[in-house]
Amino acid sequence: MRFLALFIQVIAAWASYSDPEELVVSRDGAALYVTCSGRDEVVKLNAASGAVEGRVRVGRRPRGLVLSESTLREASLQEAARLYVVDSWDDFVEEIDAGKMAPLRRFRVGMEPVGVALDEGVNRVFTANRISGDVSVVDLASGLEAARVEVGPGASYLASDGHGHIYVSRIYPNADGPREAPVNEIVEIDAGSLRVVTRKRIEGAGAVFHVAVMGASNVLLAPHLRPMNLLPTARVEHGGVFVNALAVIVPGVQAPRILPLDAMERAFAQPFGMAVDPDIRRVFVTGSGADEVAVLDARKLLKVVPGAGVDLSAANQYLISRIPVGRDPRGIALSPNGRTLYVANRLDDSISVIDLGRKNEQRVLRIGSLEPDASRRGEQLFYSARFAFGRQFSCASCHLDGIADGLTWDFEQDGFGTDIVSTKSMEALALSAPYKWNGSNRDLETECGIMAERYFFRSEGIRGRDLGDLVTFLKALPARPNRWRLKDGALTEAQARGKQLFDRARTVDGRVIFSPLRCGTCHSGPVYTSGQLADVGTKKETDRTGSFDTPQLVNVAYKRNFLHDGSAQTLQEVFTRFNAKDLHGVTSDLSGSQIDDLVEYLKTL
Amino acid sequence: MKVLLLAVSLAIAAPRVPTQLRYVFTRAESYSPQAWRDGGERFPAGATVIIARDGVTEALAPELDSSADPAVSWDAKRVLFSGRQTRSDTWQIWEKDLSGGAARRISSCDTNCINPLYLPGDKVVYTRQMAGGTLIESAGLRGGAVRRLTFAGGYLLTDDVLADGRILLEGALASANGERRPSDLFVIYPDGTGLESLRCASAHDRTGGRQTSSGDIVFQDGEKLARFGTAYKEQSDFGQLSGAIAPVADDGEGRWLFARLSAKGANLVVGRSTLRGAGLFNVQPAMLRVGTQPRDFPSGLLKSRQVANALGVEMVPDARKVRVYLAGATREATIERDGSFYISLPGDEPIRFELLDAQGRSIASENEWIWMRKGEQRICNGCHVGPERVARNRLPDALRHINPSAP
Repeated sequence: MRFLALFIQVIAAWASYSDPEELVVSRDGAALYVTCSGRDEVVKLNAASGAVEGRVRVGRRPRGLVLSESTLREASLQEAARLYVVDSWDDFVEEIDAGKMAPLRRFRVGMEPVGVALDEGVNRVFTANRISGDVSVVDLASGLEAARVEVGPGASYLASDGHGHIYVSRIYPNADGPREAPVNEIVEIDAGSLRVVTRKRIEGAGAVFHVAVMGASNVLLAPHLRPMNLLPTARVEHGGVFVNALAVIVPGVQAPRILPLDAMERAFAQPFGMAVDPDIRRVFVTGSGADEVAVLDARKLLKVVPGAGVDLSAANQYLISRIPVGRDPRGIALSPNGRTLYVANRLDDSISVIDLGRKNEQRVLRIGSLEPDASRRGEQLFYSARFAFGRQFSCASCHLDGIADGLTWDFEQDGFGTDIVSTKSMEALALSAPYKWNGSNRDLETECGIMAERYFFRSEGIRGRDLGDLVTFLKALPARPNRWRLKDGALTEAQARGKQLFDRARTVDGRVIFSPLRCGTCHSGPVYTSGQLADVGTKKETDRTGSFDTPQLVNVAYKRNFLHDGSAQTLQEVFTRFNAKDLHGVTSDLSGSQIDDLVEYLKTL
Repeated sequence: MKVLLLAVSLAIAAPRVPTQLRYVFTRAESYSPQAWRDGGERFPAGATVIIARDGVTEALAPELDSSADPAVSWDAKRVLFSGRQTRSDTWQIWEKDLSGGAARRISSCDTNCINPLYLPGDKVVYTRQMAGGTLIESAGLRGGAVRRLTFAGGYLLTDDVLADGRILLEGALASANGERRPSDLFVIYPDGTGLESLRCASAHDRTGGRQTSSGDIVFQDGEKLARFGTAYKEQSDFGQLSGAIAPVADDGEGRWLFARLSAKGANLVVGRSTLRGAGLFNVQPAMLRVGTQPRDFPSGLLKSRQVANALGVEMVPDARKVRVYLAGATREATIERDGSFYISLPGDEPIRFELLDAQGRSIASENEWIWMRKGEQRICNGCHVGPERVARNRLPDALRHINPSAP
């Protein structure tokens, strides 16, 4: 039976897209290691020929990987080199023999590890855990998780300077309030003491992706999105919805330089991965929505003196070129001699190999052979910025990795300053019609078609067969595994008490709770929504109505904020601060610990 | 027979043409490219659109007395142009199918309609000359309602439809003091919204703008050709192209075809080849090649609203009020401490903004009349801030307590 299960698993993997996401190059430049998040495996490629030299199965949705270097320095011991790969859905970091491509050990880490770094000086592996918002520190000698370092929500990518400092970026900005400007930060951790040394603020930054350390001067580079979510999204021109930028953080300088990667009329959407060449002359940035690599002059990045605010004409001072690559380019790495650039084109199942010495001559290594079906084509559309005016953003700019950005927005179609709404989660989307917080879009075709092109893209949007493909993809989006639900379906004591509160028909003192005020009346069905509008007393003075679409509750614990306008920062606040009149279910009779129990149950949904 | 003779005579007088190029252009005995700004005639002695392909040149529409302003469809199968059947007629918009047949009249203008351009969705946009100014209008290629896109007077001329779907215009908006302003480049969306100058103003006339396949917009700046690159806020000049007249036509492979002034007229030039013009003006070239259709534009006008809403942010520090001049009236709004204001205005009417200090004195005043469409909502980032400047992402005080039921 176990053999059959394994067989089915292998067949399922082979019937999947590869989704090459991140990659590293061996120190001798001979091998390329690629995480394939679609097939739950790491592939070893011959860097010269592109031939597959090995595969190793890992946990679900592997993302970041790092290669130990010290062992590789002993050239004859290449077999002893170790790969460390995070399984973002299974919450492990796996240790793999890079030569034999064989699994060695795996270590439990925090929730949804996305990035991984290694400090060989202290023999520790670090993982950035998106859902738990922390960094796990695994001691390789003992094989134990030595510590969790609190970083903040959305911890995702890591870089080591090789001298005892680990830098962590986050895709979610700080939440000072639903209508405050986002601020993100790069968190510096001392790899020895495991203390947070500094938090380098990046004002105005939403999602920050990979962070890179540039040379011995420890200049940090952080590609990020600068959402314009506090102004109405009335126009896209002039960086009106997103600016795609690079933060250059110079040690000892208080404020980072904010250098746009966008040109005035041609944006560089979703800057994601980075590579710096060995002599620190050039920086390469993947634009996962632009389907390009930006080549930047590293020295000019440090010389440019940006004026006040963001100047979209600045990029011509440091942008050398933009190299077209495949769809959704993510991870990027240079050969040790700096002459060859490798780019993981996630949604093309390919690696672009760019010869920087030969006018950027490019060849493509295929690491998958499946023809795109409707859902795959839809995914490609979802991540592409070609539909937005000036290619400024894609669906994924707000729905990061198909989820949400944790921000609130002021869309234009209801007038300026009114009906402020938070970005909805896209988990369990197929069963959560209607769409929009006011429920005005009865289906995804309307939401993603005419309305998106009129009020988001402001350009010819996704139409016809493309629209059908996009909707197919959205409906097939899988929900992430729930970390609070026990495997056997049982509930913890607190969760069981919470469920009783969720299902109850009487208050603590025995009064009947009328049906409309019972949790399960509105939050019913397979994804816990009735699909109806409800007024739960959360109308703000800028709202035109108090009736909002009942949101689905699948993985509600993963959301960054709650209620239609994101005004509740925690689930507890939903039932306390924002439910004073018991309109959102009856909760005023509950004690603090009972509210906590209710929340514990909600987390399992 | 007369038509045949004309076609034969044109073929005989044809300039030497590199056979691999297929293009159209306008030939005329005299040419005053800016005469339209005074309501005048650009081709006082008439003009003829010539098609050059396979080494042969011929009149595109020999059945017409005059033709000019050729624009090629994206599939390179049709040509739009302005034309008139007799010298006493007004200029109308015509289309010619290159596979054969007579030219088809598109417009029914009671005044001259010139400079047509294809829009996505089987539509056309063109310039209508009026007494004291021009209007930009769009219409269906197969009939349907004519839509007016400009509402503030002045002289604007359709130059090109950009890859992003916006319409590129040249000319000058009507000024408050009646002075003649230099011609500049503007853009609007195909529903007439989003009027703005392409870049900051120049001391010279900017005319003849056209987007090349690289995305640059090439135009005439005074006596020279210049361009705006997509990454640059300033223009760069082509000093080596002396005597060149915009617009230019590019073949998608880096070669440009353009007119260059000579002692007796204007020759068409491509690379090192000069197409001699025999003392005529050979101007307005357009390549006969398959191009990329610009993005269609989905109008987001809020049709239930009769007003336009304007949000201003980051006004100059001393500004306390904004005054908006309408036709025979004014409206005012307070500028909040963070420099923001919000005001509702009548749509489809000329408007003009002025900033006032605490004593009600004018500290900045727009000299030009602009417009917003009914149902349009716009954000202005300061006064005279270049298009390269991004507004700060902060909640404007002017929107903190907005009445959601206001129109």
